[in-house]
Amino acid sequence: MLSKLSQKHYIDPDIFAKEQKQIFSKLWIFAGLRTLLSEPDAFLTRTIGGIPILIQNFAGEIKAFENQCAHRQAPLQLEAYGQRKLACRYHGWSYTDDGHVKSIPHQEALYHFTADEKEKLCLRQFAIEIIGNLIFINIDADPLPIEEQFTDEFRQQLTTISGYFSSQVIHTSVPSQFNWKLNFENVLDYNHIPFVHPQTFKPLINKAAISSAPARKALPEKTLLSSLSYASTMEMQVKKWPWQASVEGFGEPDTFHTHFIYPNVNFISVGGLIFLIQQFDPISASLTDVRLSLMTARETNKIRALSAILWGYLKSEKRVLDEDRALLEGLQSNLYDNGKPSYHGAYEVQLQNVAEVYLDLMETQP
Amino acid sequence: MTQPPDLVLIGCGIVFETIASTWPQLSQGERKLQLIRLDSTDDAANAVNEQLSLLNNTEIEIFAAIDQNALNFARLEIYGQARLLGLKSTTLIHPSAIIAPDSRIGENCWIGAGAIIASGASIGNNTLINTGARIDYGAQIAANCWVGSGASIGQYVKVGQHVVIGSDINLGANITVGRHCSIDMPGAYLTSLAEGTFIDSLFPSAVHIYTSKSANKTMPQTDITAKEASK
Ligand code: FES
Ligand SMILES: [Fe+2]
Repeated sequence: MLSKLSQKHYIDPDIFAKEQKQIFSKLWIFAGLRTLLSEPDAFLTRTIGGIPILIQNFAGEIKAFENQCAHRQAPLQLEAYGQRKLACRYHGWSYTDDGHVKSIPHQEALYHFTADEKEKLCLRQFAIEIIGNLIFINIDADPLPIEEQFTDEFRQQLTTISGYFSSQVIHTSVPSQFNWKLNFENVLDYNHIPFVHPQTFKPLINKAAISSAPARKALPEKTLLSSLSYASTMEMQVKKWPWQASVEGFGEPDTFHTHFIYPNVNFISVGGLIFLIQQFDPISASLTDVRLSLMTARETNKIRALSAILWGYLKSEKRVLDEDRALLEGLQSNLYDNGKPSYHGAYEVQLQNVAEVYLDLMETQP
Repeated sequence: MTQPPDLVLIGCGIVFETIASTWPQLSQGERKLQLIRLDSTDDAANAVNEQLSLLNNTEIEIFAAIDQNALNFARLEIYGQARLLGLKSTTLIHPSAIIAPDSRIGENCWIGAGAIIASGASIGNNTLINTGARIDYGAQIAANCWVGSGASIGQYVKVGQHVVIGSDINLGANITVGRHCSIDMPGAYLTSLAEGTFIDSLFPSAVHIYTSKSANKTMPQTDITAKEASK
């Protein structure tokens, strides 16, 4: 059947702007790893829904603020991950843990702010939810209750598996010339694997999964937002790694875990030993930063060569990603305004569900 | 006169093959060479443990020669295992290399053909300096590193442990490269790199390892409140 999305949905700047408002500024969006914010004043920075964000540990409590100084908009924190008190480098204003201006150097000599004015100077704060070691942020003033986006069961699954994360993480971002939706659809589409990754994914190809496409969806029933985010597993021969005796792995051995986190995350684990979070961070209609964070299960004995292990796996994951990128970038560059929509078969039911919810979200009036 | 001990060369890869093929020149015909060639660098210490334990440390010296695999941890496995067994590891210097007399070079180091080690430079144990590389005045390269062919390390540069500097890379003077880094895209690097930074043609921008304890890669913190004008 025809997809509900037209080619325009993947190329139009106005649609992209609307997505930033209706999806990325309304839903809970994965923002980063709790494991890297365990120390006081550890922080991370991101841009979500077009807004610069900082998330920081204030004496044990994780909070999110707009990463823009109340004085003249300088970013308060710069690095992707770091550790530093919340203060501005431009004119030295510092902030309290509730985002109020704490001190202004030379306030009396140079600024002459009244106590009332000073009290009103503060950073916009955002809602956050911490699910295990995964931090989600919602930049809406009236955030959606999290259970409407992620079921209790799914949140529990994420809490459990992410509890196994090591606190050493290799991270990078790969600018890619395609719309973010193409990559989320691509990870839902298991049928591309034997064609796009014939070598890299050979051991993963599961005949049973391929022969078990669900029956076509009964049309009238409404798809819930929370049905788009779920976990699934499949059997897989996991290579024995020399370091695996030094970590506490998650779940049954020889299992491949995957978690689809709507709208833009795919989180996988190979054997509960290696974890990879891929996020498709929208930059423009035809540009997406694919953010990769990879870690092992937490160590029970120190692994001296851990950094070399992480680097080795990240390189192989990047080669897999490049196979997808070559395909999706080619697809994207061919899209045009009045082109025909996709034509889905039974196995692509999840792509249809995603499109249905997406259109609902895009039409919802504030 | 005592005969110099024979050398047992263990490993695989570029440096292994280079040493094996230039041995007559390196030994000037005075030492015998025995090769233990590995098929793979995975779990290398276990692969050679039995052969190593049969060696007699009064008659031989060893040289662990695996390239930069796994940030030089693969080579360290063999070198470390040999040391545990009480074997002595040697350093090999190609006769065409130029070495300042007041430079310091550790053990299990290889200095390739045409390499230059300037005055005051130091090279830690188990570090390999490849063909034509240049280490400038006062530069310090820690243990378990790899400097590729034609690379240059500027004066007073500090390179931490387990760093890979690829071929044709130029590190500007006075910078610091933290431990566990790999720079493998030819070019000039003029600013310091934090621990766990990877620069590679596979990635369009630098890759970083973050850990909760060493996440502090920011500028030194200044205490702003203390500086506030107090009246
Ligand atoms: S812009 Fe931040 S203190 Fe001026
Ligand atoms: Fe793929």
